[in-house]
Amino acid sequence: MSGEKIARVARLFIIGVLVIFSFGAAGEICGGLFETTAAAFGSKFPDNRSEDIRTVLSQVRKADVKAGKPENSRGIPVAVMVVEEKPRAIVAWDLKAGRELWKVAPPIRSEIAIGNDLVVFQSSTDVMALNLGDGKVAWKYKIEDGWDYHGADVSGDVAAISIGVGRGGAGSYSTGRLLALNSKNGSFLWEHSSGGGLLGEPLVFGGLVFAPWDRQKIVVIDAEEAEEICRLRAIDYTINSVNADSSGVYYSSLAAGANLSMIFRFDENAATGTREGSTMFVPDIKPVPGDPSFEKDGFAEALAGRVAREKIRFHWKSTASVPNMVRMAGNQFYLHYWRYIIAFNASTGQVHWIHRSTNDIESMSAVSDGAIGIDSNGRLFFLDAVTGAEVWSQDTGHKTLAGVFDADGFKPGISAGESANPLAGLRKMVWDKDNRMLPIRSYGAFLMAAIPVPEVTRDLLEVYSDPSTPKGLRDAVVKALEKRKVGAEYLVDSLHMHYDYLEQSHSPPMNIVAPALVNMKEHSSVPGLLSRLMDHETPVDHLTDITVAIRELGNPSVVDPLRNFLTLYHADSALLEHEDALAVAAQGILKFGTKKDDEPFVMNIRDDTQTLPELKSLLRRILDPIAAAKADTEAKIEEETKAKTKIEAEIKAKAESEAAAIVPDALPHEQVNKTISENQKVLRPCVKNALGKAPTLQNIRLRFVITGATGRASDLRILPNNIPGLQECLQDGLKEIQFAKFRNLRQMATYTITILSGASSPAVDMSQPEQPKPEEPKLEKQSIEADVY
Amino acid sequence: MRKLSVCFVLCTVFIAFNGTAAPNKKQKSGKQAGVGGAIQKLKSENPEEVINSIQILAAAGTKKAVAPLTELLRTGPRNDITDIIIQAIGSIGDESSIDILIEYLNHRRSDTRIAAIYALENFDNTRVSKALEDCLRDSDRQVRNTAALALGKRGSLGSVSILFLAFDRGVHDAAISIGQLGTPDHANRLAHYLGKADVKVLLPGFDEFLRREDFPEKAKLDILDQLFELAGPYVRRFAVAYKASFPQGTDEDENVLYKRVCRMVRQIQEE
Repeated sequence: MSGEKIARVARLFIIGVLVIFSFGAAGEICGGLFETTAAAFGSKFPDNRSEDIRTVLSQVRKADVKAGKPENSRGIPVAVMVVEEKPRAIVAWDLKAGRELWKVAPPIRSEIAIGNDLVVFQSSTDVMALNLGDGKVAWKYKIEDGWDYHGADVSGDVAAISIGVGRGGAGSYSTGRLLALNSKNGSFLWEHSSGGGLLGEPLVFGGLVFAPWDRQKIVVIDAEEAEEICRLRAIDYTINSVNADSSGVYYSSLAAGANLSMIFRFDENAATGTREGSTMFVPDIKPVPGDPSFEKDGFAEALAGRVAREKIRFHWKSTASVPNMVRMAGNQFYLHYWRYIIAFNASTGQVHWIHRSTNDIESMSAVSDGAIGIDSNGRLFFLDAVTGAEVWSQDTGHKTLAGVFDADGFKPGISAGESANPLAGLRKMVWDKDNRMLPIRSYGAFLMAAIPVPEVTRDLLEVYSDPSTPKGLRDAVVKALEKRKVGAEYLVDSLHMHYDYLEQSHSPPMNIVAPALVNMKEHSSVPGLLSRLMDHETPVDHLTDITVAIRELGNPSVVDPLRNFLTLYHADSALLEHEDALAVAAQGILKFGTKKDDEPFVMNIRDDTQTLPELKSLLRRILDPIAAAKADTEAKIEEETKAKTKIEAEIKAKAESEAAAIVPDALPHEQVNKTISENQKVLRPCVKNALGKAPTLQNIRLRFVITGATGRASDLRILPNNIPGLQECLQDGLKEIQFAKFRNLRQMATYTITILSGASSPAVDMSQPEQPKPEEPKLEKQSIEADVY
Repeated sequence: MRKLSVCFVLCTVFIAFNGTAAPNKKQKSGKQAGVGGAIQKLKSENPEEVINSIQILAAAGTKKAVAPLTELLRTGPRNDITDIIIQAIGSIGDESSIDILIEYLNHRRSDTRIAAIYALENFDNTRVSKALEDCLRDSDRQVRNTAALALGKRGSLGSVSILFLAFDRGVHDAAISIGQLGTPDHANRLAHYLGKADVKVLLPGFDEFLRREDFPEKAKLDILDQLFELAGPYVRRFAVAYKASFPQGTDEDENVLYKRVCRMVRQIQEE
């Protein structure tokens, strides 16, 4: 075959391939090679498209989900627990019958998930599915070595599994794979790779697989077609997980410091990708210690057993679907914090009730009528949504590490007429002696402070004054007290508290108490305030708050104590840098005292030579504010002038120093001319004298050497050189002239003095305007370029 | 140290002022004139002159000086003058100044509070004991320890229980005062801390018990026995020092305490 023929065949082959691809036959011919990269997680798939979201929603609405009932086909409320035995076992518990359904002990490497009558988890290197009914293995699917299990979900005929590599941190490599299996037998259906970035725990709902991707996106894949049909991209939040129930699909954001976790509804508003435009819920509460999020972190490796991060989490249960709203059952959500469950009103953020378990609560779930949980001792309990009362409990007899529930609609009993008492719960929480609880105790202090009951002020002060209260909690109480607007009587009582080393008691936080008393206009506090003022244990930086309170709330009876205070410390270094406390005391004296007695007293303090200088200055202002204002203005002007002069001087000095720093290699002839012109007066007498001797003289040519290091001229030669005395005179004159310095050793320069008798506009005027003389010589500079050597 | 230096200054001034140990009438009238002058100069604008006058008045020890010194204190002078007046009033020791000295136990500067404690040491008064006991509650460590030592020097048995409380809270010098004031029961109570508290802070207390002539010999023997049980290098060093406090030539057979301490020195292993 000739080369030309080969080229023709090759061209035809390429054209054929292009034709095949252009007609969409690539998928048919190349099979899976293209499916994994193009059908989902592609880089060009458009995100946040309303029409795609509408497609998803239409399919979600068709999902067959039972509202207010367990999801399993038998409709039995169940709990499935990982129990602490050797080896660890999985126990299924019938909540209604109060009995164990089954117990198996396969190797357990991950947390467990329930769905579609299956219990799914990682066992060794397999994903294992057990029948919820009898605990027998339904199927297994092997995961390749090196891939971490991130969770699974089962619904209908599809089981979706997320696996990944890497931690997903910024700058680190991570990737994820989404596997779809037949939920009946575990056979492989399809797989997609993220190509980069972890995939979170998936959700299977309404024939769709929702896969959170790289904390920024949710990819929705049609389970049957194995194709991506929608992509949501979060613009100003990070995605934590995706969940669904009969009211729809929801996804949550990750909490981080001041940004609380949020719940978003997957609806048409989700297309905005922003918090503001989306249908969302954010709790109206102060950020909680431990940064809890709604729902579990779907991107974290799904570890088996007791996981600390799962002990600090928000829980909620959605209720009937209302457009453009995230609506919660009982209008409340729950905070699980180790052994506490706190119910918050979803609208106001106020605490509804608090439950404290004797043991750590390992897992909990919000259901329509309350919260169900299991503690570390395997004790199941149900809390009434309205009162928080524990209306039901069962002992499973198993030490428990974790549990999951399929128990919606489970309502084992109702509260017997009790009403929620959030304050009592908060009190217990703040006084909890468990050191692990310190962050939530401090948080509890803030929650208490928001309750407008006077006794809360007392409670907070008691916590503050208790010697066993840790410093962190005491600081939190001080901050919490700032918010109080009621309970003045308790603040007044607190003024009797005092520091005692032996009793380990503390002074009240006067920087908080005193301003609060002023806000509450509590005049009865004055004696206590005076007592705190004179107590040396009162921190010095609280004194100004106290004197201000006395000045604002006082009466003539405060004059003598304030005089004593001012007298005692007016010259004492104890109040150095805190002179304002003394100055405010002086204001109090002047306010409540008499002009006859008390004004002279303050004046005497002002005039005392020993008075602290800053106090003197403050008293001058207090006693004569007009003069002080005038003096201030003058001082300000003077200061500004000084500052201006200083800046100018600095600029000038800088410019000079810069100029000095720039030493030229040689002097340009213009500068030589300029320097001589500026120093004409030293040469003029020589020229005048020479004219007397040679009246016809018209110009004198000077040739001299300038030394670079000194800027001085020497070696002068002149023409004409026959005028007696002219050479010496000019030599002497030239010596007086200071030229600029330069880098070269020396340079030769020439200068011609042109004598213009009676010239009208000489270049350099040497005339004497007061005594004009026609014969007066005029010099015209005429420099010749300098030679450098 | 500061106290010693103040005493030195006061003595110097005192000697300079008196000239001889037995003043004659002329000198006495001169002294009176000096006191009068010093009182006048308390009003001087020159702080150095004021300080000199206070020192002169302190050296004179005249009760006439108390009122003008108190008056000056009431004007709120600067730190050094405040402290030197308190020392002067304390050295004069007039009961009328107890109130103002107690007031200054609540001054914001701990230096001044300590000066007031030293000044109050000189007064035998129940109010003073109570005030010094209150100083054990002070937030300043030095104030607490100074107060504990002052209580020991003033010899009030009633203060022992609060001194124990203070010792429990880490006021180590309280052990010394307990040793100065306590009964055999108190010594026994202090011995209960052996093995629990640092022996270095307990030994000064036991030292005080052992050196007291009014303390029963049996109780002293009990102390030595309990220390012997604990043994250790610090106890040995303590025993060596205690043994050295006996007069030279003391016979072991004639002095049971000496015999016991000699046995301790012999039997407790050297470091």
